[in-house]
Amino acid sequence: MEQKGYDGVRRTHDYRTLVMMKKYLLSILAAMLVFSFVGAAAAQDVVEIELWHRWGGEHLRIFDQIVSDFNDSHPHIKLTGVSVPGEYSDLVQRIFARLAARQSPPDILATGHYLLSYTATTFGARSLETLAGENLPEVANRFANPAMMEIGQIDGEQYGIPFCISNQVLFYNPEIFEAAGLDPNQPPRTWDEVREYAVQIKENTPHHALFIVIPDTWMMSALVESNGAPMKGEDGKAAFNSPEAVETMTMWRGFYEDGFIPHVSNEESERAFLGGSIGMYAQSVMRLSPYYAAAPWLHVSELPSFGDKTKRLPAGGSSLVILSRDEAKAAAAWEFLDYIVSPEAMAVWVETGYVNPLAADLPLINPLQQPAVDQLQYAIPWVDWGGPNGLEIEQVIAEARDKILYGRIGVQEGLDEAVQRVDELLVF
Amino acid sequence: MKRRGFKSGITPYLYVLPAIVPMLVFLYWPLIVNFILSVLDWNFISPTRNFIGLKNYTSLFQREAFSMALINTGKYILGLLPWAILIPLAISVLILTVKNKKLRDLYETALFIPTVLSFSVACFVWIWMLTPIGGVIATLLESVGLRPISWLADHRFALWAIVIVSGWRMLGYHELLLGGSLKSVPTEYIEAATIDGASSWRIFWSIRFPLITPTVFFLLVTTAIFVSDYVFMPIHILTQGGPYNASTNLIYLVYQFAFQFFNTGLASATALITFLLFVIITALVFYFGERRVHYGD
Repeated sequence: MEQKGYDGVRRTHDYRTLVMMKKYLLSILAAMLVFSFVGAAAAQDVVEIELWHRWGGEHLRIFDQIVSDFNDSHPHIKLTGVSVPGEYSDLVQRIFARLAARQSPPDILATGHYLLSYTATTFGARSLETLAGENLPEVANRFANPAMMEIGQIDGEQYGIPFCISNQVLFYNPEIFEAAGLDPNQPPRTWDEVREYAVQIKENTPHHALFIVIPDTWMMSALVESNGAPMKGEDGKAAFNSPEAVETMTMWRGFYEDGFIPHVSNEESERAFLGGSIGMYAQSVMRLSPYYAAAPWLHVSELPSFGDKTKRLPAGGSSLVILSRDEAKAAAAWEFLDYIVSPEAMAVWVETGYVNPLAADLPLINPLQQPAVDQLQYAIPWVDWGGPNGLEIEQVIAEARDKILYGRIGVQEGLDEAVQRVDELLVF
Repeated sequence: MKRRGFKSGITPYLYVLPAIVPMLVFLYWPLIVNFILSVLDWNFISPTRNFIGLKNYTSLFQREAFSMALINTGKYILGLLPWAILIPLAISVLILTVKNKKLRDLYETALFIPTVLSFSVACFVWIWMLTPIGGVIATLLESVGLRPISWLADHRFALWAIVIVSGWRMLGYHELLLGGSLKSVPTEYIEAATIDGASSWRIFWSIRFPLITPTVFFLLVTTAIFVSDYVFMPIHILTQGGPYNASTNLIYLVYQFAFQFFNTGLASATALITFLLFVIITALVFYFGERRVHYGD
């Protein structure tokens, strides 16, 4: 069918259809334009932040669950967790590479407590007292022991939220206890009792009595500090050559000399304990889940004390610090730090095996975790040596410890040498 | 005329440019940057770079870890030379006496298997074997009335445990090279010497060994230079340089300074000293070794 147009030209029916389609298309385009503006405006309101951590495997699944829950409950923030599996120092390496390439650091970093000072000063962590303001005391009050917030402090200023906490416990093998004539329900409470138990195990079983893990200075600090000897003096210098420190290391060395502790590496000792060849095993509670999976017979008790002295246990684990230079991102990052120490998020996080540091009563993943929870009252910050040589100082102390334990050097002489070396590195 | 002369003059340099540029960018420029870093107190990202002269070097020489790493570097080279040359050479000679070709191939394949295994995986297997509580080696020692050795935790054995693990992996490849070299010795020389009544020992020292000296020299040079790199992985997996630096070496120390302590200056100073040390070692090996090499011309 043909029709004349306003200009008298004949046009077909198809032409009218084309005009109509053109009108529809224009309407759709206009609508898309409007929606895209609205969408862009909405997207601008969503702050995207990134968090770097070292967790993999089951820990990663649990952490990703927390991130997902946070994103669902905070629609104005999009948090992305980036896993860099390995040690905490591997995370630091990656950030160095990123900054050297003129890129921004991650907005949030999960850094080991022992690296807090180093990462905060090197990468310019944000003071949480400025970012959180009046919210910070409220967050501190959520902790079972508000003093635990000191773990995230540098010179009294809050830089990290210590949400991930572990401490030292004594794992032990009840079958070896029974074979030695000991009661598996009466673990040793003091180091003197540990020696008595070790004598019985050595005399009555073919097994090794004890092992105290030695990968870094964490356990040494726990023992020395618990015997009333500070690792670092109030003047900021090394102080671990005091008579109490010498007494502690003499006791530890004695365990080797008397054949209670086998001369094996850390990894070898772990396999030997899980294989049923070592009676008592002082280690981080963080290893509870994998140990329990491999050896469901194991028992756990608190780390023994030195007589009736109050224990002082450096906290293991990590703190979250904010590295973002962008104010909006830093504010969003603080919202996550606030969220992760909420009972809701902590209820998910404790599935990893780390201890719940909050006052909120959360179910334990395993009743064997209870001794670690009971020890939270003794938590102190891991000694922070600070400065550019802070990490090397850790190594110097670990080497001195090994020389002493393996009988290469006298206890007093070894500690004196290490203290002198640490003091030199502190001023280098 | 002049223009053409310039062209013909520059042409050879243009041909070698694709080889020279990567060398300048990836070899010599990093060396220069490494030296600059070694005289600075700087961590790559800090806005301030303080010139501290030779302080990193003097500090290095005061560290026990450095002196131990230096000595251990020499121990690793000397400890692995038998595994790199003497043992594979002895095995190659023994395999050469096997008349059955299939059996000979079987021996060589069996020896070569460790070379193609993942070294990191092999290191973890070695940890299981070396452990003094329930390990295979400890059980064997106990079965003959000996006390088990704490290979990885005892300062007297840690370095030698790494030498054994590295030597075990190196052996097959070196045997293959030396075996191939021995097989390429012209049979006419051997037959002539045999007819003249020369003993096997005499044939080996007067004919076979001189003719394979280029391969032996190649293995000597590469072992001296690359052993420090080669043992890095077993050090890292088995002992992390411990106990108290008993098994560390210069390359591992560079890694520790750079990526565990994040002390760029010390790491660069150690790297530069390591570089100079290996230049000297290489020169000495060439000076004393190459004059005894028979290239057959």
